[in-house]
Amino acid sequence: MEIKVHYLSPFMEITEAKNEIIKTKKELTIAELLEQLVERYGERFAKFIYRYDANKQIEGYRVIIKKNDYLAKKDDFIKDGDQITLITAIIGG
Amino acid sequence: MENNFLLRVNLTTGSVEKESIPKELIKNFLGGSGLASKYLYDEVPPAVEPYSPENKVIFAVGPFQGYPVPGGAKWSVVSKSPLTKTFAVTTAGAEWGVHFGKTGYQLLIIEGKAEKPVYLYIGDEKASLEDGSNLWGKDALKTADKIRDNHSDKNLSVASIGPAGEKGVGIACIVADKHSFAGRCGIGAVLGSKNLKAIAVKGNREMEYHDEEGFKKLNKELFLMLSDSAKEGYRPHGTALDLMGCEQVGDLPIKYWTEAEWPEGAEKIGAPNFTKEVNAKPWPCKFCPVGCHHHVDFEYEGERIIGAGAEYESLGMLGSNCLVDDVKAVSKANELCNRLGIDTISAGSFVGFTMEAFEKGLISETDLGGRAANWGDGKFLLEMVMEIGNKEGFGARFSRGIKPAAEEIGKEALDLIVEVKNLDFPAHDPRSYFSLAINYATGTRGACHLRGYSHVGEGGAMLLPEMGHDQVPERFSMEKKAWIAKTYQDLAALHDSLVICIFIPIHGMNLTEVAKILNLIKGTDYSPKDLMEIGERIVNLQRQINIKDGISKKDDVLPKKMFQPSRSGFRKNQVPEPFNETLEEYYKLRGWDSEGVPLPETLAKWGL
Ligand code: SF4
Repeated sequence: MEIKVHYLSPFMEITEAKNEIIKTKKELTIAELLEQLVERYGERFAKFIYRYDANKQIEGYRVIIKKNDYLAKKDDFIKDGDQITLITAIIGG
Repeated sequence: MENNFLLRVNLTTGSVEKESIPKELIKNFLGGSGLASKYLYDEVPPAVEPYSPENKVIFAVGPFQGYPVPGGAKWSVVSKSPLTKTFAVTTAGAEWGVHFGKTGYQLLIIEGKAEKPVYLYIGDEKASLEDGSNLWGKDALKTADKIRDNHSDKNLSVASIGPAGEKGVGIACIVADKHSFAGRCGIGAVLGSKNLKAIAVKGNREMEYHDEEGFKKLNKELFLMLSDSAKEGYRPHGTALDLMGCEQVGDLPIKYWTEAEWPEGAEKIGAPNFTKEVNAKPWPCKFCPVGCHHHVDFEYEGERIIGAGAEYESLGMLGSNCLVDDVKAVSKANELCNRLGIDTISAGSFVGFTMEAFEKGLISETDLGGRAANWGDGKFLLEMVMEIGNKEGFGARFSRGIKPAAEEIGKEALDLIVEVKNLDFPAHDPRSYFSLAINYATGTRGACHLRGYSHVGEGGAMLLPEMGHDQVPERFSMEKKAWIAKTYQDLAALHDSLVICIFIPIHGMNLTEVAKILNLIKGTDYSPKDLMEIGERIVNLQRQINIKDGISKKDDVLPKKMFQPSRSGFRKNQVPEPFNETLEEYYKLRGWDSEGVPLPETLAKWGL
């Protein structure tokens, strides 16, 4: 199946693309998709995905995921043709 | 503890006096806005008119100023607002807080009214009122240059007002060192009413530490962690980084709060396009590893513009809110606001409201001096900003705020405005973060995202495990939102009293580390919970000022638009309901009665 992933700043500067198509044979959850992306784009990317505790262990997510028009939970399954947008947890001045 | 002094300047008599601050007050209110609120409560009676000589303006630093604490260049200023007619607080940074902290004072109380324009100079050993006649009429940025020239000191820190403050524009701000803005509530106009153009400070005192080695060690670790956290986010882009994300979740104001989607526009005015188009480079406040402030250098219509760049709030309110997608026009509007010395949030709100009122036929081209007010018109935006700041033309109608301006136009116009207690909404939408509905309705200075940052607690940008908040709550639900609103208001009151920039905790310096740093400097033994209790005491004190000024449940309301759902996008069909029940829950959590008045036992608990 194909999933379209959209990147906003600062993700787009790391991926060097505003969006990309991810092809996968098996059904993925949001958390699994994020793991795949972290593997591909490395530590810089991971820092905007996860929250870390004082011992640098992952303790949660700092990214907001929009699936099509809705807020997705990390254990939601992604279907063929879904559009996923990665948004950093927003502060906004 | 040191720094237990205040400087009292009476502009009517010209007296400048040093006074001690009782230790008990510092223990209960820390410093910054907490301590200043206490003096405002004690010294400015409820009936006082904001522009009268009896009103006071209290500048305040806290236990962090003068020390190289990350984000510790901040300072607070407290007064009665010409907009809300009640308690007002606003904060800024740059270098001013550091210098004032190094003079040995915690508070500067300005009272009375000078006969002619003056400015105040404060050094380590000396404070004096100086002739400010040749500064009157100058913009806020040129004023800083001129005062530095007067004293032959390029490093003098200057907080000044612009022409808007002199002319009594109710949204006049105070500009610190040309790149930080004590923006909201119109305290710049209160200074103008007192004929005080600026306050220049140079502090050089050595600071004393309880445990200097311990402080240096922890502080170094924090600096490294914070600069790493910001290096690919706010450091290169500033808060413009958040424009596109805020648009995606329906948080960004679009077309004066009537639309929920504007992706192409947000991409044009947000980072990274913003960073490239206006050539933005970090211009951090002193001792800041995050560096959200930016210096810009770009050309607009043949003019070279150099100075402080627009932040998220300004880009949102002057840009998306008015559908202006030309990032250079929005940045030019921001520069005009900086020079005139006006709050970009309210200025953008006024322009957006004018465009909507024009579209709906509530005002005509004749009312507007023979022009149209079309959405997306950058030229109109710039003209309006000039008029608002100079109190001229149609823009002059807004000098008392949005509500009086709408009242003059009529009932239908009143239905359009987006404010609480006559303070315009900042660029975050309660239909996206439901906790903001309660936070804005009950904010002690009106609708505000900084005197309570519940959206960062709700969205997960900053959780508060020390207070048991370690999970992101359900988004489109009022469950837990009263608690989040209350807790993040208390936290903001604490931060404004220390004083520390909100972006420091958001980038990873948690409340436990904040308490440790404070204890290493001062030799105190505060726990995170102790500090949160001080924050709660301060919010109750500020609410008491509101109550004595006649504020109650009737004023803790949201504008109509916030109950009109979007037909599309991320927050489609969502409104912050049940609002009234959640407000009641909030009052109960606070220990206030059903009218929002603190109960006697609550006041007793906080020693008020
Ligand atoms: S994060 Fe921004 S506002 Fe805060 S201290 Fe740093 S530069 Fe100043």
